[in-house]
Formats: sequence, C-alpha cells, structure tokens
Amino acid sequence: MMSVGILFGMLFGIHWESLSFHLLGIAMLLESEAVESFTPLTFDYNTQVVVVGTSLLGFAGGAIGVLLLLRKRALIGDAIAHATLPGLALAFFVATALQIDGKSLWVLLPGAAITGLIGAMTVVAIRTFSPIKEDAAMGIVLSVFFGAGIAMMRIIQQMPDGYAAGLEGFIFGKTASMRFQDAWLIAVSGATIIGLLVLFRRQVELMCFDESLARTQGWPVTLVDIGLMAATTTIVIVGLQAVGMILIIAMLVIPAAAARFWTWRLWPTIATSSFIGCIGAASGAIISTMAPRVPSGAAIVIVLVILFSFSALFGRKNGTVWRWARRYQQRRETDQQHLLRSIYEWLELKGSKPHDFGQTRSESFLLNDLEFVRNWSPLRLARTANRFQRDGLLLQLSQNRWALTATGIQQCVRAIRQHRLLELYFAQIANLSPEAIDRGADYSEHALNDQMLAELERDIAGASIGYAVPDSLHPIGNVQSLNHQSRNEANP
Amino acid sequence: MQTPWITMDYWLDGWIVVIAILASVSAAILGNFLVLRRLSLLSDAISHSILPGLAAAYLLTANRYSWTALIGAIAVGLITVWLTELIGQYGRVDEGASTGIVFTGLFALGLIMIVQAADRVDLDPNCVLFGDIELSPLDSIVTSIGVIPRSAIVLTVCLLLNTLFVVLLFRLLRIATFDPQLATSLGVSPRVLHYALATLVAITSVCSFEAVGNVLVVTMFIVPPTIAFLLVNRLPMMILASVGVAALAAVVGHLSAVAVPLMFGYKSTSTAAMISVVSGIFLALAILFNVKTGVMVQAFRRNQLAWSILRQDILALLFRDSERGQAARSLRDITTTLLSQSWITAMALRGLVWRGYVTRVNDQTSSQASSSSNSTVGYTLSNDGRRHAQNLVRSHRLWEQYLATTGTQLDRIHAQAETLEHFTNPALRQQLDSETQQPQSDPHGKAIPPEEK
Repeated sequence: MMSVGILFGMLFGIHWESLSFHLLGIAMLLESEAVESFTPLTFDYNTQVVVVGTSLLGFAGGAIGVLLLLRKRALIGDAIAHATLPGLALAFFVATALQIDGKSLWVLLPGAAITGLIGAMTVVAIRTFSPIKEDAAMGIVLSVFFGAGIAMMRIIQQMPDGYAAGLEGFIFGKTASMRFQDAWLIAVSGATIIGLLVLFRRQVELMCFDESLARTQGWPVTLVDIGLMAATTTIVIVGLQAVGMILIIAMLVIPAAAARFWTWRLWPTIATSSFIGCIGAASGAIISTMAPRVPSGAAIVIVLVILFSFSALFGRKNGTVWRWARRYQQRRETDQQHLLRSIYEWLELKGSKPHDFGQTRSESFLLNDLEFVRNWSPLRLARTANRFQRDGLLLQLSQNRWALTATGIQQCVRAIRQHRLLELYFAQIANLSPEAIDRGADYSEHALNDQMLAELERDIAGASIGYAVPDSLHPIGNVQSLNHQSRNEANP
Repeated sequence: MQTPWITMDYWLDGWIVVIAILASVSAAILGNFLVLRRLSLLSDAISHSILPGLAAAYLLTANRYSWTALIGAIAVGLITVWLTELIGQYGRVDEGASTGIVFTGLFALGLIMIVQAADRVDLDPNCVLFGDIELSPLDSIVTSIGVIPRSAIVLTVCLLLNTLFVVLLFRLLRIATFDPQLATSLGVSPRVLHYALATLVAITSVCSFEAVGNVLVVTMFIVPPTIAFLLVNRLPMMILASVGVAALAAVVGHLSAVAVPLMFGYKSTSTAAMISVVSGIFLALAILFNVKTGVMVQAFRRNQLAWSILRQDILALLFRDSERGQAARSLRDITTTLLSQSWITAMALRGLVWRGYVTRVNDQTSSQASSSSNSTVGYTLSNDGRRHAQNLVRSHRLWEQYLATTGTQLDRIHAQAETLEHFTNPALRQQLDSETQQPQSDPHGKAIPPEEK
C-alpha cells in the first residue's frame, strides 16, 4: 500500500519539481514514528536502526551519484568498491598481529578506505602515465585489487579465528550485522557529504557543466574532483555493510539515472535521485529483514531497478509511455491530414473537386476508391474516416459511401493547399525531382504553422493564385492501385 | 623463517595449470578487441549479468554443464548489450552508467535466484565471484585418451571457438576495430560484430565461470591484452603476445598460489586470485619498463639526454676557453658558468674524463681566470675532446649564421643555436655550410672552425 502511495507521490511530486515536497517526504520517512507506521508489521529496534541507516545511505548515495553521472565517472565507484577488499583483509591481518579485535569496524573501515582511495588513484595514474584508456584502467584496478583481496581472504580463512571474521558479509552485504553506532556512522557521513555539497554548490554546479569555465574562473577543479572521489569512497565504505562491495555501485548509478527521466535541472535531479535512493534502500532493507536469506544488497538493487524501470516508463522527461503516446498522437494527426488530402485528390481526379465557399457538402465517394491515391489498408482507412465522422468532418451516406461536410471541405482544402504550396516551394527553390517533391512535402507539411503557410503563399504562389488550390505537379495515384482499380471494375 | 617447499600432486596441479591456461588464453584472445575498442567494461558487465541465465539453467537442469546454461548465458549477455544501448539512448546517460544499471540489476536477480535455490543446487554465492579452480579437476570424465576434467574439455572447445572467430574474421575485425566508418561503408555493421563479440564474451565467461568466477575473469579479458598493447604495435603480434602473457600469468599464478602463502606459514591460496595478482604485477612492470612508453624508460631516456647535453656544453665551454687562450677551468668555474650543480657537473666531467675527451691538470698558473676558486685541479680538452668540441662549436656558429640569413633577430639566434647544436650531425653541418655559402665567421664575428673528422 505504502509503496504505491510513494510511487504516486513521486509521479506528482516530481511533476511539480518542488524541492520542498521531496524534503518533506524524506523527513517524514526518517521520523521514527513514520518508520514504525511504515507497514502493519511491527519492527524491532534493530530493524528500525537498519532501515534508518540504509535510507540515509541511499539519500547520500543518490546525491553523489548525480555528480558522478554528470562527470561521466559513474563506474569509478565500482573500482573503488572492489578495491576495498584487500584493505579489509590487510586491516584484519594488522589488527590480529597487534592483538586488537580484527572484526571491529573502526579497524576494518579505515583499511578499506585506504585501499579504496589507492584504487581510485591507480585508475588516474594509469590513465595519466600510460596510453591505457580509462575503461581498461577501471577494469584492471577492479579485478586485480579484488583478486589480491580474495587471495588474502583465503589465507584469513585458515587463521584460527579467521573463519568467524565475517568479512564475507562485506562482499554481498549483511544488514543483520548492523548496529546502532553503524547507523550513526552512516548518518554523520551522509550529513557531512550533503552539507559539503550545499556549501560548495556553486563550484559543483560549474564543474559539472562547464569544467573549462570553472578553471578559467580560478576554481580549484582538481580539488573539488578529489573531494568528489573522497565522498564517493566514503559512501562506498559506509555502504559496505548494508549493500556489499559488488552492488554498492547500484546505489550511486541507478537513482541518478532514474532521476534523469523526471527532470533535467541539476538540483531537482539531485533531490529526486536522493529520494529514489532513500526509498529503494529502505524498502530493500525491509525486504531483506523479512526474508533473511535474500542478501540485502541484492534486495536493494532489485527495488532500485524497479524504481528505475518505473521512471523509464512513466518519467515526464523522455519516459517510454509518454514518448509512445506522443508518437501515436503524431501519427494520428499525420494520418488525418493524409486522408483529407487523398479525398481531395480523388475528387479532383473525378472532376468534382470541392470548393470551400458555398458548398455545404462535397460530392460523395467510395472509401475503397481512396486506395487508388493512398495505399492504406482498408482498416486504417475506415479507422481514420470514423474518427473524422466523430469530429464532424465526414458524413457516412451509406455502407461505403462518404462525403465531406462544410467544415470537412475547409480542412481538406487547407491540407491540400499546404501540401501543394510546399511542393511548389521545393520545385522552385530547392530544385528537386517530382518524386522527391511529393515525398519532401509529405514529410514536412505536418510541421507547417499558419505563419509559415502565409509566407509560402506570399513568396511562392504570389498574387496570381489567390485563394485557389494550385494544381498538382505530378500525376496522382500509383500503378499498383490502378491495377487494383481496374480489377475491381472488371469484377464489380 | 621456514623454507618454502612446494609439494605438488602432478595430476591435480597439472590439470589446474592446464585449465588456468585454457581459461586465460580464451579470454585474452577476445580481450584484444575489447581493449582496442574501449569495451573493456563489457566483459565486466557480461560476466556479472550472465548469473541469472546460469541460475535459471541450474534450476531447470540441476546440472552445471548443460546447453541450457550456455543458451541462458548467451541470451542474458545479448540482453545486457541491448539494454545498455537502450538506456544510454533514452536515459541520456553515458555508457558506463547504463552498463552499471544493467549488470547490477541482473547480478542481483541472479544472486537472489541462487540463494533461493541453494537447497537444490550446490552453488555457493562466494564461489560465483572467484570460482573454484582447485576443485575443478575432480569433476572429470573418462575418455578414450584418459581421465580428463570436464572443465578442461569445455574450455578447449571455447578456446577453439574464439580462435576460429578471430582467425576467420580477422580482416573484418581489424577494420571494424580501427576504422568503424570504413567497415560500415564496406557493408560490415560494427554493431553486428559488437553483438557477436558480446556473444563470445558471454560464452567464454560461462565456460570459465566455474574455474575463475565472474570478477577475476575480467582480469583475464583485460590485463594480458593491455600488456600486449604496451609491448607491441601490430594487431597480429598483439594477439600472440597477449596469449603468451596469459599463459605465463596462469603458470606463475598457480605456482605463487602454492608458494607465497607457504612463506608466511599458511597453506595455498586461490589460484584464480593469484593469477589476477600476478597479471597485475606483470602489467605494473609493463607500464614502468616497456620500451615504447614505459614510465621508467622514458625517465631514463630524458635523463640520458640531459646528461649528454651537459657533457657537450662542457666540451663547447672548454673549446671557447682555448680559443681565448685559457688552458683549463676548475670544477666550480664550470658549474657557475653553466648554471649547474657541482655534483652534477662533477659526474658529467667524470664521464668526459672516462671517455678520454677531457684531462685533469694540476696547474695553478693556467687557472688564473678562476682566481676566486681555490681549487688546484683544472680540466682541459684532450685531442679527441677538441675534435668533438670543435664540431659542436662549428654547428653552433653555422646555425647562428643560418638563422641570421633567415631574418631571425640577432638577439635570438644564440639561444636557438644553443639548442640546435646538440642535434646536428655532419651531413646537416655540410648542408648548413653550403646554404650559407661557406662563411668564415658567424654574425657575432667569431671564426667558424673547420670540420674535424
């Protein structure tokens, strides 16, 4: 129930593009009462901690993800995440050698952060000091660091207290091991990142959209870039427990990419992305606590992918459904104009072309005959004609016999004038061949507005034409339909 | 420290090495085209996203090797490429981001499927990441030529398939890799080849899945071809080199998986992981020391050039001294005149003395010009050194004369000639000489010395 509500909230909230709405929604979600009343199930204290912690993580990850996406660095997060594994293992080795508890997060996470940053710097170093391209550099760092980590993990498993080290939990994520102070850790790092983002918003904005301008204005772009890498590493490190190193990249990439379907402005995108990340992480964590065998990272990613697919389908910017609707609408309008033109052409061929003054109804015609001038399926013809009848442009006299009404005649003459004026334009100005003239006019006539039409009348046709319809520059109808026609006449 | 003593079971370790080589080489052959076409992350994406296809096949047939697994993996691999294109196109995000969305989503799906089916299929989620090459020889079948591990047979077929693809379509692949526009105009759609490559990457990932898992296979796809890319220039040589590097990394990887942990008193570690580490080390060496672009090699060359220029500057300085009738110069004098540092000048002088171009003289009277110096050791040109120095100064003054005839301002010609003199050979001097009508002196009025053989 709740999730449906949230999805609708997203749809409308983002339609208004109001920042305050998102913040309100997130604040409501984060209040403990709201979490408690989230589902009819009552959550214990530990689950509440996990849900609040992961949703904060999703929030911060969504925000940073947008910047990474705009800097086209999305997958650097993946390289950093995989590079944390040797750090975890090394930290465990060192702690055990120093007789400290090697499973403490205060030991493991700094180790992970160090190798994570080394991984990020290695990508930059490889790109700078060798001819190797960035994609290969990322793949190399990702797999080689991970390999080193795996090799060390195998050795840790042989150590006396290594089996219970629980380092595997960091690979796929294990929210069950999350404690209160871990949620605090995420909250503090997330708040710091968001705070810095707000503080340096102008630099960030400039850097994302016009790096060279930022440089010429004297902003320390490299420093801000390093800050972005540090923020990414922080998100990855604190997210290791909840999501795991393999899938943490999804928290950075998916919300940001989903937000692109709702808005193209920077700060609304960041707000939307944070919101999606927050919802996805929280619901994933809840699913994983309810179904303990599902790794929490996988659950979060699946929810995020569902939210992404929803955005890709229904997003106001370039969403598939809207795009299809627009295309359908466009095709319908094109069909209508083409049919009107065909009716005129057919009536003209028969020597009874309609006049848009004084005539209340055109000569009647058979719908089948229109196939001669426009090679459509009978179904498409009938569908378009029926639509015209509803709009009062056509009149059905009998089963197959139709006529234009007065309004229909006006629209019909307008359509044919538009087409033929364009043909004239193409013939006189662009010097196209007759076939190309018809095709060109066919494509572009639908984009004409009244002003352009008036210009065409003035410049191309001149005073000589008056309000009359120019003659066609090419024979009307096609050979195939002509055969069809004669066959029909042979066997009535 | 206890001495590492490697004990090997020749049947087991032999097959592990064979399987590792087969997996590495099949991946490396395709990897060349991935690296050159900047599609490296395609291997990462596909090796992750085949998981749901594999999991579905496991669930259907409860068998690790089946046609279903192959078909499932190919289907999901192609879907990955298609969805990545789609999201990139309509979501207006770059390829990296759309790849990230698709492969994480599919991998998560596969993970959940595997966890749910853990009762029925013995597939450990951790194993997915780094494989289990140590156990793969145990799953073997009896054939007419002996007992052969199943994954060795599967990987051999995979290797043959990849080799055939590359050999038969070599010309097409080369054109499509280096000149996609030309390929399109020749009627070969790079998109079709892209999908074909994706299919083979999916097949290779599936075949080596059990041995090396889905993260470490990325190393095998990318690292050996990248090393080869650094070492050689031409595509056929690059493919051969990548195959060699891949096989070497597999062998060294297995040996170090057995030997390195022994040094610290543990048992062996994962072979696949160590292959990855060893490849990484090979790559680091290649980045630092390859002949073309190696970081250290370039630093060494720059250094060499700097030293030789300094030595030539010293020779020219001493020659000009002798023109003015000054016999020798002290170390400090040379250092301050050339704006150098004394230890660097001393090193350069030692090089010159060793080559026999410069001789040390203990003559206080001849170093009167350097009265500020209290050193009694001076340096002067030997006969060999004089010939070299004379040609250098000749180059310098010929260049000045030439630059003056081209209309360069007189206050600029010295600096330019100072640079050019180091890169001028006898033939070029000859040409300069004839271009400037065999002048006797340079624009500053100094005599141009004759050529010394």
